[in-house]
Amino acid sequence: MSKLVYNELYKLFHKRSTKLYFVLVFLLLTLSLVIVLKFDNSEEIESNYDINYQQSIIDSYKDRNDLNDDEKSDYLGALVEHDKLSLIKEKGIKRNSPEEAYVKDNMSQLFYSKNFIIVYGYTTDVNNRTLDDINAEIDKEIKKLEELDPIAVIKDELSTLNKEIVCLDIKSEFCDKYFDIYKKVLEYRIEMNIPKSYNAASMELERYLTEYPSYLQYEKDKGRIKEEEKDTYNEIISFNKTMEYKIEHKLLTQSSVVQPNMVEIVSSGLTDMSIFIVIGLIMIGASVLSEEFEKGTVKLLLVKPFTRNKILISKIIASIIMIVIFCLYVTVLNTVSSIIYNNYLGMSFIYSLCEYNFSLHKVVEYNIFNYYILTFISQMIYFIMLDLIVICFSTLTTSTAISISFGFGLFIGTGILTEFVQKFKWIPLLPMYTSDMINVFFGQPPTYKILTLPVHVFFNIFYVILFIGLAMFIFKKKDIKNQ
Amino acid sequence: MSIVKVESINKSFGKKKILHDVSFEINEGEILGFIGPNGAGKTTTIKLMLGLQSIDSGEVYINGYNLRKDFEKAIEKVGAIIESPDVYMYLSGRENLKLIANLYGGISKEELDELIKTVGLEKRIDDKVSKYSLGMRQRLGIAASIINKPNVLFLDEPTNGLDPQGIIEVRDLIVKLAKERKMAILISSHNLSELDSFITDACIIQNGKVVTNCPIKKLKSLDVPKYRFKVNKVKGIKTLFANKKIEVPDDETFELEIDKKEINSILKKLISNDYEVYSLFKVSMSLEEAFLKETGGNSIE
Repeated sequence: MSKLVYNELYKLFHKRSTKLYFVLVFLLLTLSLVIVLKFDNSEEIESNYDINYQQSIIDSYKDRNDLNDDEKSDYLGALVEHDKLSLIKEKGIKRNSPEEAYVKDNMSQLFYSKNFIIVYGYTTDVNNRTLDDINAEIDKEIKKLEELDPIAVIKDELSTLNKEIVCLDIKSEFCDKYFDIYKKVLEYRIEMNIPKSYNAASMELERYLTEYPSYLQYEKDKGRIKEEEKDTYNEIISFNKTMEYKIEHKLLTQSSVVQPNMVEIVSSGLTDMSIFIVIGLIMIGASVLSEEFEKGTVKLLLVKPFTRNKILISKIIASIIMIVIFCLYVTVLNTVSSIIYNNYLGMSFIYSLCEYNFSLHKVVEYNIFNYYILTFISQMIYFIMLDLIVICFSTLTTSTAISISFGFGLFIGTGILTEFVQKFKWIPLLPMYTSDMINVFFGQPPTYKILTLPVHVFFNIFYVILFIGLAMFIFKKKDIKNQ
Repeated sequence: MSIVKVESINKSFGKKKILHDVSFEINEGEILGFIGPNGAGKTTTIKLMLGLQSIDSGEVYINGYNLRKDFEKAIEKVGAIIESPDVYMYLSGRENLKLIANLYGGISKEELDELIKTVGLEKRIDDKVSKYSLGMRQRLGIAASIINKPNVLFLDEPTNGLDPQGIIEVRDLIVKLAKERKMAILISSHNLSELDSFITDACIIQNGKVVTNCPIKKLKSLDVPKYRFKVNKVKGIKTLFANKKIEVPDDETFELEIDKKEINSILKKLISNDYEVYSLFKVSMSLEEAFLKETGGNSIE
């Protein structure tokens, strides 16, 4: 059998279509990298566009006395944004620095109060400040900004919070929990030196605080969650549990605005780029047997001292080995191009990934290796199932072209069928759904309720036996027609 | 001892019966000419004998093994070319042979080189097969079919599509192989005259039925000597040899069925009757004529 598998692999590697596949995937990924590197100046465009855009709104309103309420509101918004952006530009404040966050968040109220008076001609300020008072305060803040100690700002916020908690009249379990987390976040920021900014770690901490009340609410309502809310519930639970873990294990550190995760990048070759692998596997699966019939070489193979079953199994094994090779090839290309791209943008990578596992009820920390292995195994189940279906079909038709069309039809059709799952509850029991086990492997909630682990396992074994058995039966009965 | 034994095999495609109780045997060292017109069932028979098509009823034994029950053992010592040489066009000749050698195992590089030399492909063996002529592909196909040192060789119309030079080359190669390796060879053709010079036995098939199966010697024994005389005129010749079987194809030629001992007296008789004899030679009967004589038919086509 190993001799047959070796021969199959030798033939597959020497086929023009396989060589073309390797070259095309390389060219496509290289081309997309070149395009992204050459034309990616989106941040610059965004920044210029923003300030000029605000200026254009201001220009269109400033000399008019007949503004209606909506226009006044627009005008006010543009003036506030313009003040912030021009201050950032004037002071040469770096993007995503704590200073930028300070201008955009802490000084926002002052700019609003100032421009409200300009637009509406009166003030709603609680302290009844005049325009001069506000401008003086802005100047004070700007001076503060020049020697800003971002951690001191957080310390101030923490002391204010402690005072507020003491003064709080209404006490409740809900409030206690929220204030605990709020304090925890601020203390974490101080300890880990994470100022408020638009950087990844800081943003995650902010999101944690924003979503925490919903999390508390969901925890309270557990068991009464409506079906349509399940996804949001799972997402919030997953995020909050993961954040708890990250804070506890001090995994969040000061970072750049986008922090690419190497664990995800390496595995994304198998998920985000899976179309390249699917193209390769359909091409191989559809032709590995059909082409022998079309070119007549099947006779050469069948008059050798091997049973038809052995010949078919060797072809299936060879095609699976080719899929593994395609997976590794796409992974390497995708990883290398992502590293080049992110390095070019000056990003620093994270090398661990935390995810809440709903099956184990705990957060699991992955490294590149174990995350890749899990992704690889789960994706291989899907790829092998698709391969077996295509091989089985090509055994029946002995036509490469029809089998390739069928393979792509099946791949695309799976996406279309998803739309009808509500109406036909059995659709997830089809092989293309039961073989998609990525959620099971990572302990994520199932996409379809019906797909529990035993259902996945049972149907996958059933389909593998069915498709191999069917292909063997058809191949064994097939007469080699006279030319 | 028979190496190949075909016992009453039958085959139908749908309602159409293709083979009717086809039986024959091939012994060691025999070259069996499997002869019949196009559509007679030659290729189907060979495919059934190789397991490429399923047998409706009947059995095939190769080297004593039942093909249906013991396929791997039965086919182990068989080499075959069916319809056309089946080789991978995107590989070189050497790569094709190496792949087949790998399936059998135990074939050394020297043996492979020797084989390449035997089929006369040493100069072009590393070229892609897609660049080969049909004759070269046929020779590569033969090399591929004898790589496992078979004792049985099935060749289905091996000279099909070849030019006259190609036909001679392939024929010589088969004769050489049969002589050197003492194989049992089955060679099919729709053209009797192509085979009659080197086959030892003939099996003639028509409409899916074996009509004649005998040693070629027997067919050739039906050959009654015939002599062709080229003379200045044929007028009165039939009267002169009224007691002999005579044919007069044209104005200067006549053919007589006589024994060689009679030639001198015939010549004397011609000269004394004022005939000028320009030439005289023996005309052999072709296999086809012998077959027609045996079966009393009109044509095998």
